Amino acid sequence: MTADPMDAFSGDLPVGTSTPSSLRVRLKSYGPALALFVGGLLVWEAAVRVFDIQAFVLPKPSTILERLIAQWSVIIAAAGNTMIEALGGLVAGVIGGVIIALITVRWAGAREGIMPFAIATNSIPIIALAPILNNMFPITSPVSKMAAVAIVVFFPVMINTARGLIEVDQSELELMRSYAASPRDVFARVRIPHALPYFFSALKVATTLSIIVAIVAEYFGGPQDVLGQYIIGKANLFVYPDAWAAIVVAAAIGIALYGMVLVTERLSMPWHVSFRAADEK
Amino acid sequence: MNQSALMTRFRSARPGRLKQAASILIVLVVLVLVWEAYKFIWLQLGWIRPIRPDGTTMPHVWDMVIELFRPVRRGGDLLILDLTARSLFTLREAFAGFVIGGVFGFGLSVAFVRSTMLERAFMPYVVASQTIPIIAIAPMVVVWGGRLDIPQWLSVAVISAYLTFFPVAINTLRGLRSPDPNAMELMKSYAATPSEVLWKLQVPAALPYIFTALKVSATASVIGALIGELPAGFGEGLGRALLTFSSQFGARSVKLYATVIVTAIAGILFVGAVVLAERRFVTEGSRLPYDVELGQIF
Amino acid sequence: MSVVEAVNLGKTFGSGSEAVTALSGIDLSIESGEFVSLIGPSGCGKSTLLRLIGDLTRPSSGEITINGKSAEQARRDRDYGIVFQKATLLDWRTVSKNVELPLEIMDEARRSERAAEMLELVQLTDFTSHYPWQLSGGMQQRVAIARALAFKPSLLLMDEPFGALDEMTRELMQQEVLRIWAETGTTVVFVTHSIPEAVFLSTRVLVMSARPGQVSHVIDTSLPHPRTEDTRESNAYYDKVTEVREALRQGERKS
Repeated sequence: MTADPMDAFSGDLPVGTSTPSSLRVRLKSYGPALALFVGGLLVWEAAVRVFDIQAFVLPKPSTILERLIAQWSVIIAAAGNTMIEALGGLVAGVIGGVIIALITVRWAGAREGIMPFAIATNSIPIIALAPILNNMFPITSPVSKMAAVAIVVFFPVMINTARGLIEVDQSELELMRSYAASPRDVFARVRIPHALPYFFSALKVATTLSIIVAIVAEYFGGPQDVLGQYIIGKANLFVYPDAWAAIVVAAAIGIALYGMVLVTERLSMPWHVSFRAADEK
Repeated sequence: MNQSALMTRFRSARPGRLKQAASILIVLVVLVLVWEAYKFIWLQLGWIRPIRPDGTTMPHVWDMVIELFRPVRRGGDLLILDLTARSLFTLREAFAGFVIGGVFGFGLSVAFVRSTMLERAFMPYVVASQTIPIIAIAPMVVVWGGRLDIPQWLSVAVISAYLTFFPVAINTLRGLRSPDPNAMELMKSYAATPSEVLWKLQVPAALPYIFTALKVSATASVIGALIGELPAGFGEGLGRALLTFSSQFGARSVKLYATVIVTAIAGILFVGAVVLAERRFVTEGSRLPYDVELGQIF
Repeated sequence: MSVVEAVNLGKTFGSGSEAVTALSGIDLSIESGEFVSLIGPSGCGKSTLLRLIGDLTRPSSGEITINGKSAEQARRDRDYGIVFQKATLLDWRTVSKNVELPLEIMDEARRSERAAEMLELVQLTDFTSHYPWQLSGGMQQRVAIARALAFKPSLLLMDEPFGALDEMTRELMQQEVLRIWAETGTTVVFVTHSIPEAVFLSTRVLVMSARPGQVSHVIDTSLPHPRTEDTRESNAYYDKVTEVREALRQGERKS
């Protein structure tokens, strides 16, 4: 039987073929972090009890949990309203960002004009627009907070997506030219797949921001039944455990949204570098 | 010179600084025109959605600027003087925290590079610290600090430090580890001490990364300072002005708009200072492009 | 009708004081079925010449025709396939989907069958569903070659395709290319830095000199086909390699 000459090069075995990640491997990587978290909580609880720290300085985790349960319906209702603001703004900002990114790809003139401005604006405290937005729109509507979220989210999404669409390897463009491919072909087959990782990384940033910006915008005023007002109200009354409880809920929502983006990302980009690295462990 | 290098050289060069500044100016002018056009058209057509084109909700842009040169209140200072003082107040707090956080982040990274044990032990905490949305709880932290008799500026500085130390630590680490393994081997061949390797090779290599983080933390620090100033009772910074003028919106909305403009300028000046420092310490070729991921660490 | 015909071809980049003349006064004629190598020092314009053939850049002077048409028309008619030094496979497509890429753009039928056929030609049938990152450099280049030939062009352009590979892999890949060339009868224009490679692969070697880029020597390799490992150790081969080396030195001395 003739051996395939290609078998001769041992150095040429496929690099990093993915290995099935077993439960044990997963536990190994997440275990320590989890243990740290639980351990941290226990230490916190113990420390407060042992040193008899006052509630307003640092409440016990158990107290926070207690207050969370007691205030559950109020906090959840507030969280719901805040989520509406966050999600509304997120959707608007992401769609706007993607559209403008597409425009900057199509028209190089737009790119040179808009990008420097976008990067500069991302360096300003855009949140300062929140009080203006609160006054522009009826005080009872969530639109003002949505607008704040949308504006803040728009910039990272636009900048990163544009970058992903534009910064395609020269060789790939030459290859497409050698196929006499139409600009539409180049867009669909090269630019968009190339931009996906950039889009998702901006989306991760955007989801984290959306909750925070919604809450901070709420600090500037508006209806009472939202997380921001709840937190600041409780803080002003020095009822800290309640405020912390609301913050825990806000953090949980943020993590959940982030998780959803991660899952979507995984599903749409099975080939991506960041996933290979994890599988190779 | 190979073919693609040739082609790269002769493709249109990236817009120079002047061109970038000009394009930013043009976009601003366009936005102002859009604002005024909206007012004009909506007023003619009598529409009020989505934003009322009246003088309170949408003052003329020039009115916003003129307002800066009117007194804050009857017989008071000019608004622009008042706001400048407030800006300095806010920026001072932000800057204090920025410096503390930067130094701490840098020190932490150097320690991690020297000792992998330290890194493995404390890195999880460093990462975990960022899951707390400090900006969202900034007011709480400040009130809390007040209760513990910590001066307001210190609480705010702590917030800014918190926002600065993580990106600086992470990026410094990345930068300290960025040199080619060959470069490290070269230093070894010179029998260089770990300190010499650190200061002659690793730190200079890390500077571009550090400045990328600093640019971003500068913005975050200012935002942290603004939000930290919101709780009732603390009056000397821009945050308080935003809140006060927001409540006076019906009476004289232009003040709020003027304040927002000043806030934006204050933010730009702070970041601009960092950019200038970058130009001084990091050579043109090594500067890293704008990193959006790092951009939002709160 | 020659496959490639160039008359007084020239290419200058930039203008005024910044102008760089990459190529000047290139005359060449490549017949069907030939395997022609372009070799020369850095800056001699060999890659530029390849790109002029492929209409990836336009000439500043002179004329070039491919299969009797303008280079642009030849490109639009998809008369050639190209392989770069970097395999340039699309990360998000499997190996077979990568090979299908040109077929999709050209809207051809029976794509997966033709991709399978090509992968068999380069002996990578077992890796059809793998992603590029799972393949070594040499294997990625084989996929790139399969992709270049997927739509059965009459001309194959290769720009230092084995430059990034180690010597042993390189020699094996050279055998592969010769085998594919024999099986498909495609005309090949091959840019390389390596004298042994140029002599081993080609029917003719075009030696180029720099500043400005010109063809200084045309050398027929006159070695028998098929070429094997034994060819590499024959005297005739060594003599040809020496001849090409001398030609290169002469070219350098001129400039």
